Amino acid sequence: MSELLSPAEVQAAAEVAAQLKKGLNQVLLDQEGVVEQVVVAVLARGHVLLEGLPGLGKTELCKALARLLALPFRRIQFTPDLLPGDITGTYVLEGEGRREFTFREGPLFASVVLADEINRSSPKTQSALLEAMQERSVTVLGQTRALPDPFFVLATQNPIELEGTYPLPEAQLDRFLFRVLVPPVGAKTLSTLLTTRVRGASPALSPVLDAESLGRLFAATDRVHLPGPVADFIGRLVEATDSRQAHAPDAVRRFVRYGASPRAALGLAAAGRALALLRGKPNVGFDEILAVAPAVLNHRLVLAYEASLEKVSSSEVIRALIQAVPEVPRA
Amino acid sequence: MAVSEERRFQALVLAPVRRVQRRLNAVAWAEAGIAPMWAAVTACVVARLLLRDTALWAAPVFLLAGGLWWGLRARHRGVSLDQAAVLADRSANAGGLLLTRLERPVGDWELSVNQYARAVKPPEVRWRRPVGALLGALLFLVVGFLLPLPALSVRPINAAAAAKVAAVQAKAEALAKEEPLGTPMEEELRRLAEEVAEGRFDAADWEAADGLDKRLSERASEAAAELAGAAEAARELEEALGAAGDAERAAREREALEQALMALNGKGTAGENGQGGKNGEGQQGEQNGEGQQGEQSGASSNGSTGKEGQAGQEGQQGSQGSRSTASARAGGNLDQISDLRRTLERRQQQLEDRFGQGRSGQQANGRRQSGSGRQGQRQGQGQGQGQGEGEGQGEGEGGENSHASRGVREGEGAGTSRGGGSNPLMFGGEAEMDPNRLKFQPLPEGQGGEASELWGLKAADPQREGVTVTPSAARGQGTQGDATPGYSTEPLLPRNRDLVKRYFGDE
Repeated sequence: MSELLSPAEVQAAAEVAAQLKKGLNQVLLDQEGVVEQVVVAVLARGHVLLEGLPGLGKTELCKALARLLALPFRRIQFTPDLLPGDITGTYVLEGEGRREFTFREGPLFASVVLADEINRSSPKTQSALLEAMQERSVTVLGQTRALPDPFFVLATQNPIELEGTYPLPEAQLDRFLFRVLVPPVGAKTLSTLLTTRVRGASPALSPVLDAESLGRLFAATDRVHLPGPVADFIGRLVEATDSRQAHAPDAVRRFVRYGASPRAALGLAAAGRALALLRGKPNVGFDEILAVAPAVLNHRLVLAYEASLEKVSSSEVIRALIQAVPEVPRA
Repeated sequence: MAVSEERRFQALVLAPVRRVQRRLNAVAWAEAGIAPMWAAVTACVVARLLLRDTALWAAPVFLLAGGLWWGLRARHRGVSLDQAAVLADRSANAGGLLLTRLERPVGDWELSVNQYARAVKPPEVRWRRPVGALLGALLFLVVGFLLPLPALSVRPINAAAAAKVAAVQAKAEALAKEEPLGTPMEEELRRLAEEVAEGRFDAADWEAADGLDKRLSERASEAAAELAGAAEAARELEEALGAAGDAERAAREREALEQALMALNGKGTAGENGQGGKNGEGQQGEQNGEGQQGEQSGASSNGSTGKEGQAGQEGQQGSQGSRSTASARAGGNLDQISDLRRTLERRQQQLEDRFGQGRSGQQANGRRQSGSGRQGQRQGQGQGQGQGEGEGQGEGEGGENSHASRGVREGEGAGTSRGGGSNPLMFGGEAEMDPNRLKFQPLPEGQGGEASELWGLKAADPQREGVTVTPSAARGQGTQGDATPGYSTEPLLPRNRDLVKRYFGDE
């Protein structure tokens, strides 16, 4: 058992994370929740799916994150004619004299990859991300190549204009730690945006973290203690998403066809640790779990047809789930 | 962990968590005990109502059972230390730090832990309901045991039921002396007696008692019928034994008489037979002396007229008729013996007359004389009406089986009177034996063929029951009175075969 984080370590990590948040908040105005979730996902080394209307700054947020972390950044614009080799890389014949095949790395070979409009590419290309997101490696022509560490995929998708798009399969969705819904901004935010930016250009950002300090931050995140009762709560919460369970809430029984996977529980724990560190705590509490649960679970619940009929979203089901599952198990 | 740290941990962190645990457990246990306590208390009170003083022994059992049930429920409903720690952590807004402290040392976070531990507030519990319910149960128990119980009301015994059961029992005891009642009936009787004694005799018991009474009556009647049958059988057996003894004795006597008769026959002469044959055998009439007319002289006793004979016989016929009827009714050996005896007497008299006094020896002593025909036995068909004085008219006519001429009339000192017809009496010489008389004749078909059914036997014993004698064609005539041979359907006893042979000769 690793030693609990000292207050100094926690404070240092929290300061770094705060700088990261501050930088992102400069880019994405009045979206502290979105920014915090993105930072938590980064600390938890998870991938993020940003979903929102066009023009809300999703792409700018990803590019700002890459700049703040000082990590290699690539952007892939997913189009319908995009092929897997286009993102993973492929062998090309090159050289003079005796020419030979050389592997040309694709855009995936970067620490921060922005998969813009990910739902516009074909499922074939989307599936090329499965191995990269889970194993953090790419296999081309039987040869597996590791991706850089850290490796983040920040994907965006547009919830409208679904014509000619390919919804992400469940396996692909499950590999994202968070699905962050980017809400619209208000008039005040827009006013600030108009007065502070020229032609909408983002402010210049300086990196706040290098790879080494980011590594220490990841290590600190892993040392955040997860108490047994909290872990038990995570287990009961994920279990309650299964509509076949006897103690599942009524909302789950009615509107959920398939519940969350164990990967969701792992994601809850990791996100809880990251959020606890971000909040300056050496341990995870119930509040951290409850805070990250909607972002972790909302894209992992497969809703039933009744939910669409009654216009019940996954967020509402998760809210009912959290209220139904007690922190202390009933006798 | 140092001792001081451990003590600090116990005092600062664990103590508030345990307080929370105890508080929660107290309420949980109280709620868990509501149902068991009320059940046990109710059982105790009901037991006191039913068992009265014995309930003091049963109450601890109920309370112990309720306590065990309570313990089991409380064990499942108890709040663990982890749960109490969660609640304590939440109540202190520790953010999981107290939970972490319970699992591992927190190092520099100890101060924060202590601060959070001090901030732990005991949870609000709703203790009034369970405590009130438990107190109510206790109060119910106390009241239930302190309230005085009404006196026991003794249920009166149903007198009619008791009388009914007693009657059935008496009947059963009487029947049990004759034959065993059987276990089910005894059990039923015992049960009915208990029901009466305990005052629970209801309609079903009444029906059972009636049914039992009826069964006992049926069995008693059956036993009485069996006893009557046995008595009847014993009486019949006794009569049969007596009859067998009489028959045996009569048979012996008759045998002796027959032997005596045979002995006399051996001495007799052929005249015996000759006279009988000529004077119309089978017409001998038995006449009692007291009914005879004394005025008949010896001369007239020649039998010149049948009327005289008839006139003089009226009293005799009456007596003879009655006797013959009795004999015929008896149909037994006594009559035969008496007949044989009389035959023997007549034979002796005949022999005396023949050998002692000669043919002239016509006596006027008023003794009866009978025809010598051996077969002239009457069978009592005479319908005499006069009694004794001889004034009546003796009808010497028999019935269908009698000879009309059998009314042999004797006057005083007269000879044999051959009654019936108007023919003069024919006195022949010494009787001669017809050689063909006893000639063997085959028996009619279907009448046996055995020696015991020989024709001659029936002829020798015409008064035996079943002997059929064809009436003679001559009624009251002085004709040859050959008697039609009769026969009997009864077989002759084997012991008499030799006697018959000797009597009738080898044939």
